[in-house]
Amino acid sequence: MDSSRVDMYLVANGKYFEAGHIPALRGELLGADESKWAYLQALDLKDPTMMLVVGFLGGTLGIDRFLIGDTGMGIGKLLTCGGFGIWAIVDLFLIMDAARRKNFETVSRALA
Amino acid sequence: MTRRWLYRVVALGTVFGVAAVARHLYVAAAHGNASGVCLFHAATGAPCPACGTTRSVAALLQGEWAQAWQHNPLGLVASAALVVLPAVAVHDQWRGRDDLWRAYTWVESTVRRPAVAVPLLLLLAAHWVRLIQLHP
Repeated sequence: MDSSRVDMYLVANGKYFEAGHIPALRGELLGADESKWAYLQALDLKDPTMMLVVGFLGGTLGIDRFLIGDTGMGIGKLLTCGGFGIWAIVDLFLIMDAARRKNFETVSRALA
Repeated sequence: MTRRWLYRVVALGTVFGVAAVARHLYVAAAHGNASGVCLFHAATGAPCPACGTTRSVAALLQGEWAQAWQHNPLGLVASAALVVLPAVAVHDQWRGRDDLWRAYTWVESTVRRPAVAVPLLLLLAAHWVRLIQLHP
């Protein structure tokens, strides 16, 4: 893909990814075919800040984990009252990075 | 979720689960009642879908199946999980296998299919409504 286009994408969507993943993501985007561009725009990326809000409201029910696609962990939280209340609090600190990591996986899978 | 984290989560969950049941049995014996740890219940006053699981597992340990069902049917699932998951995890570590991880990924991909997810969600909603009606 054209490098100016890749940089434009990274500037516009930087908040969806971990800083450490950006170089790898840039490499993947540069190596991807031009035809993936429209597909890339339509990808459903999860906003980490929104996931934090969901974690506050529905963390004990595991809704944050379900939303980012961590279904197994979501079930685990749901069936234990948010991991005895502890996991729900710990997840408030983990969920943003988890969402960013899932976004990176989503884009990687789409480009592969 | 990576493979290594799954084993850590199962180990932590087992420790906390057993500790919660032991604490419940001890506190219930001493004071007749035990306070919960659920944030949802503390915040809203209504039970979350998993509230009563500790009581349920404790009742099951004392052989009272009807009581266990009454507190929370999910306690039966939790009891099975408390026995099966650590056993499989220990077996995996011992024999260098990854049965638990493969089962986890299989459950994740299966539960995401709408044909499975929708009935499960409806069942969960019905279970939650019953729980709220029983313990308002």
